[in-house]
Amino acid sequence: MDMVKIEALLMDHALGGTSDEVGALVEAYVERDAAARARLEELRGTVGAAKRALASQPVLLPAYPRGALEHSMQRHLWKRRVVAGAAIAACIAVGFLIGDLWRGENRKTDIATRVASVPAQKSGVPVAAEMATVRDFWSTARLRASAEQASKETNAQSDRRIRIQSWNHIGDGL
Amino acid sequence: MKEGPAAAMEGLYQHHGPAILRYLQRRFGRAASAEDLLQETFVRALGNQRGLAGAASPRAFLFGIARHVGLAAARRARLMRVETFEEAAARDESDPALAEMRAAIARLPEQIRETLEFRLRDELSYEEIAAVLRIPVGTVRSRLHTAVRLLRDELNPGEAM
Repeated sequence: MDMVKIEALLMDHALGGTSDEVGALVEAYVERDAAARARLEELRGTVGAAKRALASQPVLLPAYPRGALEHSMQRHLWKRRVVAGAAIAACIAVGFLIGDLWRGENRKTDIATRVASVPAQKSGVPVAAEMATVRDFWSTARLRASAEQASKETNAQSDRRIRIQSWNHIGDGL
Repeated sequence: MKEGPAAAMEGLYQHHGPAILRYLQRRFGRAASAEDLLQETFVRALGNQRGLAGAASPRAFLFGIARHVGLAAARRARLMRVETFEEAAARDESDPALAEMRAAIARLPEQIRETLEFRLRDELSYEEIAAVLRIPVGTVRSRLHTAVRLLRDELNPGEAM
């Protein structure tokens, strides 16, 4: 057998770290090998001396701390209950948060759809091309067009006023 | 508290308490009261019934908690009882061989000395030491071999291999 392995086995045996079966095999081996036997004795001497050096004085065990342990057990149970409650509350809060975010996303999509469906309205302000030059701004054609537009707006306002006034008299004849 | 776990815990306390108390006294005796650390160890064990039930060795499980509790106390106190063996050697002048061995053990690297103590003083198996220190069994074996080799070389320098 490999000497390194034998040395390791002898050391484990001296330390009491071999099983009964392996221990019996080691004992049988050292019976046949004088050098191995001497080596085992030397290792046993070292381990035995170390064991004696490490031997402790007997200690006086305090009485079993029943009260302290019962108190600690109660505290532990309460702690577990509080942690479980907090975990459930956290789950519910996260659920609400996710639900709220999801509804918010839907609302945004709805508004965007509605905005997209509204037709674009023409601005009343003349476009830049219509008054490209100062000379065009005061041209007869532009002044006439402007007057016509103003007249149309005035008519439209008076029409609306008449309609609103007529609404106020709905049902008067009944 | 249920009668079952409490009674089982009391049984564990009576059976393993002395060894754990000795360990706490010698290792963390300066950082905190060993009795307080022992109580804290069993309080934590009681709070971790599932871990205790699932542990391969209740002794190793309790030693593991005791070590953790002791290290936390030592960190708080910023003090470790590392010179125990020199003190013991100084006290025990009647046997110079034992005093020499204690001094040699005290000079071992911390991790190796701790592993040797668990094996020779607390009589934990290799597997139990591995569970307490959270290291592979092979590392435990290697540390123990190193410890024996270093002690032998130190005490018998002429016979070193």
